[in-house]
Amino acid sequence: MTAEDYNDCVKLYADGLYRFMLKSTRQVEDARDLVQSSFEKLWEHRSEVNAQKCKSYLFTIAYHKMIDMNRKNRRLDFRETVPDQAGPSTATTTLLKEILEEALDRLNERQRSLVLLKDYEGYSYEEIAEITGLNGTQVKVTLHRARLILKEWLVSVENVL
Amino acid sequence: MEINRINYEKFFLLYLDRELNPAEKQEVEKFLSENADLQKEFKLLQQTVLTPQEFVFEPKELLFRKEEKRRIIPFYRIQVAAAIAGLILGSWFIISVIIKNGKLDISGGQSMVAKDNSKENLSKAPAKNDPSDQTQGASLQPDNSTSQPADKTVAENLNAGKETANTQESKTNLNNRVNKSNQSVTPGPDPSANIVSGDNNPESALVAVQKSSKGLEVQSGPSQADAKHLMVSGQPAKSAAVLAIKAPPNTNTSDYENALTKDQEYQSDNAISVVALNDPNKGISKFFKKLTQRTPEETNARQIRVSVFQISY
Repeated sequence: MTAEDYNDCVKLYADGLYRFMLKSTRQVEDARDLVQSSFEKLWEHRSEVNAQKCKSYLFTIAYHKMIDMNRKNRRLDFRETVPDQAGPSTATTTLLKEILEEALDRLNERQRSLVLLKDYEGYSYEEIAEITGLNGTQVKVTLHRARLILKEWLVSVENVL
Repeated sequence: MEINRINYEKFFLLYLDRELNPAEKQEVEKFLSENADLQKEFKLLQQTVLTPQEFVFEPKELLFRKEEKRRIIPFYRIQVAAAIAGLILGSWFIISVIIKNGKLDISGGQSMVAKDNSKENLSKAPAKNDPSDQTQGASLQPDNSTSQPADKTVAENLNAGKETANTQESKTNLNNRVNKSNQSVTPGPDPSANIVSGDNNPESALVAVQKSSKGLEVQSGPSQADAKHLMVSGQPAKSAAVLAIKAPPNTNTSDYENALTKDQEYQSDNAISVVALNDPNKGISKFFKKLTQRTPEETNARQIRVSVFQISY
């Protein structure tokens, strides 16, 4: 890919990658660092990367960097609250989002990443498998378990409310 | 696989993950319509699907890059550079060859001196003639007294060892001087001396020949214009026989003097070494071929003929 392709890749996927990293790590600075280091690696290997596959390349790099980073420092406290940049919404949907955000914290690292890749980026099982290094069956099973955990959390909250 | 009330959850999840084909999706929708009690569970699962939120990475200038411009050298410049490099290398090679040819070639530690007489030396040499040199070592004398063929005389003189020097005409000797202590050669003129080379070219080379590791001492003085001589001399006492053959007058001898002075390792025992300059007619070569029954080696046929012999006595 050329420098122009790379810069197009920045324009198209930097925000999505940042969102994925932010939702995965829950830490703004870590998410920014991961995005920058991922694009840095893409730039270094631009001659080997097809421009049409730069998005999956970026998410693959970012995902593995995040895994490595989380293994190094298992931090549970948030350095900075994730800003909610969503548009105006009703009170019900806002409440549901907050509940889901809380529910996401109940997922493990892999489950959360797979849900984010599925729901935010719209990747198929095969694409997620390619990014995460899992096989299609593992992705499907992991995602289904994550959905059921989220559902159970929603049911429990509804019961409380 | 057909959807039923046992496996419906799996199909619901695949439906929500958009992993079903249109036909399977229709089948799930039909199943839901037929099983209204499962719609609530479907909606709960549907709520687990996250709604994408918008996040913006700023500033993106941190990520943008520009291709570094690589300086491209035009091909013609490469050609010019190659040509210049070739000229430099060629010049260096030529200069090195000239320098190399201008120095005394010393092979295997054997000693040998050859030297051309320049015209300047021709005019200066007679003044340098010093009879006292004869007392210091071998004197090289023109062999005017003999009618023998030159090469024969040389052979005899060599065989005679120390007794080969003629002393009466030392004033006409070449003013060449080579000795072991300083390995110096002082050229002396003798334009007419060319007998030893065996050719009729008056500008044949100067050759000095020495036996043994003792210093080669060649003396020269004012020459006799009509001298038909073989300049052979032996150093007194321990000195070895020396043979000198006239050098052409137009040859610069300073280089050989310097080379000989600097080199301390050019002599050895039981050896005769020869260096001849400007031997275009191969007269010297013929002479030494007769002398040694061997063909001299030509290391530089154009300008310098260098022949090295080792003779067992």
